[in-house]
Amino acid sequence: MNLTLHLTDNCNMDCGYCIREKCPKDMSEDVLYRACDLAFSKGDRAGLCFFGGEPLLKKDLIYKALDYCEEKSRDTGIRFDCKMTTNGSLLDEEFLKRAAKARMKIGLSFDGTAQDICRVFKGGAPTSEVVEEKAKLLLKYMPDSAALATIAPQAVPYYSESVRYLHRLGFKDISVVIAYGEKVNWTDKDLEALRVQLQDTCSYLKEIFLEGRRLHVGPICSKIKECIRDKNPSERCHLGVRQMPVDPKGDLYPCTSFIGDERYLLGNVFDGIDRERVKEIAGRSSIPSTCTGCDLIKRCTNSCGCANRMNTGDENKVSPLQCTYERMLIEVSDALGEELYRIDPQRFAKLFC
Amino acid sequence: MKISKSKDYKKPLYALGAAAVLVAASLTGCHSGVELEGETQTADSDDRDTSTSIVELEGVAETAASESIVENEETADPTASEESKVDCSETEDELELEGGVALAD
Repeated sequence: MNLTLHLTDNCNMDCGYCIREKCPKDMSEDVLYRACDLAFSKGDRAGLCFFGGEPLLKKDLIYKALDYCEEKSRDTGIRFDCKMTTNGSLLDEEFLKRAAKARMKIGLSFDGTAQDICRVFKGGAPTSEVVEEKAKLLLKYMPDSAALATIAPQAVPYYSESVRYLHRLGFKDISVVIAYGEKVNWTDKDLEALRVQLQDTCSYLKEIFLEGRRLHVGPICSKIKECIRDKNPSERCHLGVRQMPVDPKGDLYPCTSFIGDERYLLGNVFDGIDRERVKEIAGRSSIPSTCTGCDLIKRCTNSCGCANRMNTGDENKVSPLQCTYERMLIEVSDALGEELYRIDPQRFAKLFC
Repeated sequence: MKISKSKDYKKPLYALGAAAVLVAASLTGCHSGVELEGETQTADSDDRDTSTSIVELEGVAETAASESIVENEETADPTASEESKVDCSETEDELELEGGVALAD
């Protein structure tokens, strides 16, 4: 089974949009090993995503988890996959060599040319220079690593430029999400500017397509792929069904944004999963009533409990921000899809099917 | 910003055309029609066709699994829907990278 390990609640950065409360709470070795055992307890795959806070503050735990899980994988024949989302500032060659050996997939939280707007070190120092160097190092060892950019309202003018910059650095897999939660305040003007940026990003994707190169930009290319496959984008959520976060104490929750809310506690790594509770919470997730009858119901993230909760306080209630953004994204992505398909259907199918 | 229901949406042509390719690939079990695996790698290091072809095949199976959940959500019987949902210990989903939208693989 798949688990997200919150190795620490601590972080060496102080990002303006971050909703996580930072505190010096680290996962103990006992919790770590129990979590690894839980990942191997059922199914023929064990997956761990190292997360935080900043997971590289606890490199020692990552090394221990990798050693332990690789041995378990050899003993049991169960496949072991690992990933990590990091701010990158603490990456070094020793770690990257070990991670590469474990075939870890790393997602680097990097906002491109907007990095210093929101992503600063504790104390306020800019992070862009450090992270750019670390990004180059990461790509040297793991050229298929992903860049994960978060766009807050004040960073919207840098959206398209950031995608170009990250691609020039060497990232071919770029995820761009908009910042949610109480620390950001989106306005209609921001969303109008965002539309222009999305369209400009599509122009860049068209350039890349015409050159015969490959670039995946998270929300746009994903919308096209999901439409072809009739796949509902919010299904990856389903509150605890796909992947369960483990907090530093060993408690289990349906999604990272629910950590600390006792109403959503699904068990812990010592006593196991409360399966009735998982079923009850997953069963509670439903399509928001405001979305019933909308033609885009299966194309948008209306039932992503995490986004809804951050925006409205209710996992089953969609926000005007989410609705407006999703409609815009679908429209822009479909326009790009139609254009690329007309240009070269064969190449389009190769890229998006 | 407002919540607004979209009406008169039609599935885009690109999706219909490309979906036909997917169906053909799943029926034949190979990539006929579109040379995915067999395509010559170019000198351009950006081209990742070979690895992508493997990912794409996994994607087809994943879609099928996901669809069953969509259908369950829409069933009239909420109890049936609840029972059919499984927790993460019972699925074989890809491990997700926290903090991003769906990535290329």
